[in-house]
Amino acid sequence: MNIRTPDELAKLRTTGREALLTAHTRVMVGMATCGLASGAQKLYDALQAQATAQELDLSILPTGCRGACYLEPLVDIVLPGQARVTYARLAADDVAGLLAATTAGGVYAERAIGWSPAEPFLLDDADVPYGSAESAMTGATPSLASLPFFRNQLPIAMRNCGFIDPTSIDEYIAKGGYAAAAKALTTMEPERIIAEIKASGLRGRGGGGFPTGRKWETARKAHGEPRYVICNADEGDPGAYMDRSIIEGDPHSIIEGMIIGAYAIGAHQGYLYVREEYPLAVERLRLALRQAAAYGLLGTDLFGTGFDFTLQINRGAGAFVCGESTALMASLEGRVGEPRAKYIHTVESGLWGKPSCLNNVETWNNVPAIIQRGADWFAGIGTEGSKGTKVFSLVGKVNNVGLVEVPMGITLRQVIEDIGGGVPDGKKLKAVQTGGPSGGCIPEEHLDLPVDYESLSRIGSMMGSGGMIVMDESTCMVDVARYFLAFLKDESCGKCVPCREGTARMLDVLTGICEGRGQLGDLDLLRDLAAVMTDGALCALGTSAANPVLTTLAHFADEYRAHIEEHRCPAKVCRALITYTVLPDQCTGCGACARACPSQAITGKAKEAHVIDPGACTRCGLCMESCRFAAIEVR
Amino acid sequence: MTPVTERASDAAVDEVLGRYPAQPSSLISVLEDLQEELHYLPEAVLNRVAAELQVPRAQVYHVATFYKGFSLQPRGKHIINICTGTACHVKGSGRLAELLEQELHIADGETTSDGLFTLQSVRCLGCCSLAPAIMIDREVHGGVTATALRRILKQYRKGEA
Amino acid sequence: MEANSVHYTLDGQTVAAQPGETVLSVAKRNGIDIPTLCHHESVTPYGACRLCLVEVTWGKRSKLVTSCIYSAEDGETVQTNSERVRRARCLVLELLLTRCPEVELLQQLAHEYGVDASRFQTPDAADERCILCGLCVRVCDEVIGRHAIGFAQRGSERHISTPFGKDAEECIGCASCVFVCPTQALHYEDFDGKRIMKEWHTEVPLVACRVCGAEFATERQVAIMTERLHFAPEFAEVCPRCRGTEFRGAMEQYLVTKGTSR
Repeated sequence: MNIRTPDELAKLRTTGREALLTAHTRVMVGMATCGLASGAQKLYDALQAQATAQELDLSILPTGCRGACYLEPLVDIVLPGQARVTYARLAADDVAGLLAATTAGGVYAERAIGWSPAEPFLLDDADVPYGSAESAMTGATPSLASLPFFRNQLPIAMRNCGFIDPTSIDEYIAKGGYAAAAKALTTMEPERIIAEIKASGLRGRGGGGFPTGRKWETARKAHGEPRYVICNADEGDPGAYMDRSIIEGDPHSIIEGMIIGAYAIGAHQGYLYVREEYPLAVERLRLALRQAAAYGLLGTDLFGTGFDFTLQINRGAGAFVCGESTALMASLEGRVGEPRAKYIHTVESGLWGKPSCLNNVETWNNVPAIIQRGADWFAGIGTEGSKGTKVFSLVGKVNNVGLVEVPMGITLRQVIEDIGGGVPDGKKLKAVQTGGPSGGCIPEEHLDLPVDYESLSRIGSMMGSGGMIVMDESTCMVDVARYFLAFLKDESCGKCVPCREGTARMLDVLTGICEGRGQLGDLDLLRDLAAVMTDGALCALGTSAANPVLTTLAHFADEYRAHIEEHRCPAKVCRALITYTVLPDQCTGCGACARACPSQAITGKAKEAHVIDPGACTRCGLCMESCRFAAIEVR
Repeated sequence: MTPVTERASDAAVDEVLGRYPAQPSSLISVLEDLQEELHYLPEAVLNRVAAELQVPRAQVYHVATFYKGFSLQPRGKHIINICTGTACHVKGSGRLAELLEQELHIADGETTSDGLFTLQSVRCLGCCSLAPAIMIDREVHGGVTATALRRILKQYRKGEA
Repeated sequence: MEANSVHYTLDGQTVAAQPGETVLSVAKRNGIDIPTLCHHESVTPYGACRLCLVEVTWGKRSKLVTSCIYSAEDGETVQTNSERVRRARCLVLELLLTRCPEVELLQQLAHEYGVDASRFQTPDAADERCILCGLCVRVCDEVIGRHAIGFAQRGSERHISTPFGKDAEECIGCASCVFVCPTQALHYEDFDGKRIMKEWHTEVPLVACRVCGAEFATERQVAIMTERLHFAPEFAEVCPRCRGTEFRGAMEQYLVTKGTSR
C-alpha cells in the first residue's frame, strides 16, 4: 500500500482508531527490554495460550515501556466501553484469574493498581474516553492519575509508549502518526518548519541542549551537497535508557521526526546510529523502516511532493565516545570513533565533509508533536529557557525506579520524592547524579532546584541525556568519582594527551585514595589535572572528564578528607578502609556466613560465635547479606 | 571454542560482503555481521575484508581493535555481559562480577576452557530498574543475586549436556 | 596580502592571515615560536599532543585551541604564551614525561617550561619512547602511501603497530617513519641482507648492487621505483654510484631524451 496523499493517511487513521478503541478487549503486555527481563515473555505466552484455549475474543499485543519499570511485568487491559485498568508485578500464575475477571467485564483486584478513563491522543489534543462514565467495576482501584508516580508526569515523548504495539505501523498512524510529516511536506515550506521549531524552544535532548531550530537553520544555510540527517541513538551514559525505551516503544516517532527534519534542511539520506548493546531496539527500528517504506512513507516522492528520503541503520560497535558527534560520524564512515576539533561545526562540515544535522532520539521524537500541535503549545510547557518536557531515567536508590517524563522546571525533590517515592529502606538521600559521566553530583540540600538546563549547569552538573541516579548514605562519593574515571579512562579514544594520560593519572590518584594510600597533595594534583583536561582536551569526553571529581570535591570534600587523612570511608564502601566483624553477642553460630564466604575467611564451631579473619577477608559483604541475625557489622 | 575453519569463514565473508556496497564505509557493518556469524574475527577474515573493501589492513586492524564489540580471539558459545552501569554499580555489580569470575574461573574478557562462556563487562544495558543486571547472549536477567546466578549458570550448563 | 585576508591580534601585534591559514603558520611568519610535537609540514595537522595550544579571545569568551589546526577570525585576540596556555603546556609536558621519562626531547622541553619532575607514577615501562604523536603513521599514509602501520586499540592501550603486530608486506623498509619520529622511538638495522624494521617486526630483503655489491635499497623500494619511474629492470639492479659507469653511453636510453632540433 502506498500512501500518496494526506487524505489517504487520514482515512487510515480513522479506521485504525476505531480498531484501537472499540473492536476488541485490548490486552497490552509491556515487552520492552525491562519487561522481558522481568518475565513478560512467559506472561505473554501464557495469556495467548489460555486465551486461545478458552477461545476468548481478546486482542493481546506487546507494547513498549511506559516508564513504570519498578512495576514490571505490567499489563494494561482496555475493556471497551469501560476503562483501562493497569496491572502490575504479574506472574504467569495470575493469568487465569486475570482472564476470568476480564472476560466477566471486571477487575482482577489482586494486581490492579489503577484505572484510566480515557486514552490521550496528544497529537489531536483529545482525550478519548474508553467509556461513558466511571464504571462501577473499577471499584476500589484508584485512578492511575492519582498515583504519585503518574500524577506529575506529562508524556509527550512517551505519548505512545505502553499503548501502541510498536510493531504495528497501523497503530502508530491510528494515534495520529505521520500526520505531522504529511502536514509539513504538503503545506509548509522548509523555512516555516524551521521557524516553528525555533519558536517552540526545543533544545537538544542528548545533553548539549543546543537550540534545535538554530541548528536546523544553520544546516539549511550551509554550503554543500548532499546533506544528511542523523539520529544519535548511541545512548552511552550508564544509567540512562530513555532513548532505548522510545525506540522500542515508538520507533516510528523518530522516523517521522527525521522525515520532517530532512525536508527542512534539504537532506535526502538519513542515518540512525544505534548502539549494538540494544538489540531489541535495532530489531524494532528495522521493522519500522521496512513498514514505512512499504507504505511509501520512506523512499521516493513522499506524499506526492517529489521529496525523496531514505533512512539507514548503522550499529555502534561498543564505544561510548561514538556518542560524540564527530566520532559518531567517523564511525558512520567506517573509521574508528576518534573525534576531531569542532572549530568547524558538523552542521557545516560533518559526514563526509557535508552539512549534517545530528540530533538525539528524544529530540527527533518531539518534532512531530511540535509540528502537529504548534510551537506555542510546546513553548507553553516548561520554563523560560527550557521548553517542553524531558524524559529522565530515575534509578539507583529510589523506590519507584523507572522512566519519568516531566515538564521542565519541576524540582528535583518532586521527581525523587513525589514521583520516585523517596529512598528505600529508610535510608537518607545523599545526592543525585545527573548528566552521566560528564555531569555531576547534586547534594541533598539543593534538591529544590528546578530541573532545567540552566539550573543544573549552574550547580556544576548538567542535564545530560537524562540519567538521574539517586544515591543514599551508603554510597561513597569518592568511589563514585573513581567509578566514573575508570569508565572514562576505558572509553577514551586515546588520541589527545590531556584525556588519555589525564584520565589514567586521575584514576591512579583516586584509586590510591580509595585504597588508603591518599596523600595530602592529592587534591591539588586532581585540581591541576582537572584544569588542563577541561581546558585542553580535544573533545567533550575529555573536557568534561574531570566533572565527576570536581563536583564531588565541591560538595563532599569532607569524604575525601576522611579517606586521605583518617583512612576512613564514611559510607563504608571502600574495601581497603573497612572491616567486617562478627558481633559475638548476636551470633548464633548458624554458619550461614561461613558457607557464603567465597574466601573461607570465617571460622567457627556450630552454635558458637564465628570469627572473620581480616587477612583472608576480601570485604565482599556476602556474609552480612547471608546473616539473619544482624550479627555482622561493617566498620 | 574451536577457531572457525577457513572454508567456513570464507563462505561467511562472501555472504556478508554481498550485503553491503564494496566500499570503505561498509567496514564496520561488515565486521559486525562477521562477528555475529563467526563469534570472532580471524586474522585471515580481516585480511580478506581489507582487500575486498579496499581499506588498508592497518586501518581494518585499528577498527577491529578499537571497538569493544569486536574480538580477535574466539569467544565462548554464550557471552555473559555484566552491566557495569552506574545504577548497577550502586547496586553491587562489582560483587556480581567477582562472583562470576569465581564461578567460572576466568577474568573479565576471558573464555572458559570448555568454550562455553565468555565473560565481558558492558557499559550499560539500559535495564537500570533491574540492577544489577547481566545479559547472556540476548537474554537479560535482572536483580541477580548469588543464588540466582548459580541457578542461571546451571541452566546453561545443563543445556549443553 | 590578498584583499580578503583576515586580521587579528597575535601576542599584541596585528597580523594578517590568508583565510583558512592556521595560527601556527601565521605565528611562524611573524617570528613567534609555538612548540609542537605531533606537527610536521609534510602531513596533515593532527591536533593530538596539545602542546601548540593558544588562547583565543573574542568578546567576553575565550578558549584554548590547537594552533596547528585553528584559523583565527577577524578581530579575535590570540595569545601564544598566556598564563592559561603555559599551565596547559606544563601539564601536557608533565604527563608526557610521566609516560616517557627517558626521552631527552621531553626532558628538555619540560625543563624549558619549569617542569623537571613528574608528580605522577610512570604506569608502564620506564623506557617507553613513543608519545603517540602519529607522525610515523601519517608519513607512511600520506607521503609514502603504503599504510603499513597504524594505531591499534584505544585509550591507555593505544599503540602503533603493523596489522596484528606481524611482519607487514606493505612496508617497503624506506625508514621514513624512523626519520620523522621526534623521540627516536623507532629503529632499523641492515643485517644479513635484510632491512629489519625493529618495532614493526618486519624484514624487507635488501638489493645489492650488481657491480659493487653495496646494499643500496630494499627490494620493495626498487620494485616501486621501477614501476613508477618506468625504469628498465637492469637499471635498477645497479646502485646510483655505479650507474654512471655501468650505463655509460646508454644513459640516454634510460633517462635522457635528446632533442632533434639543431
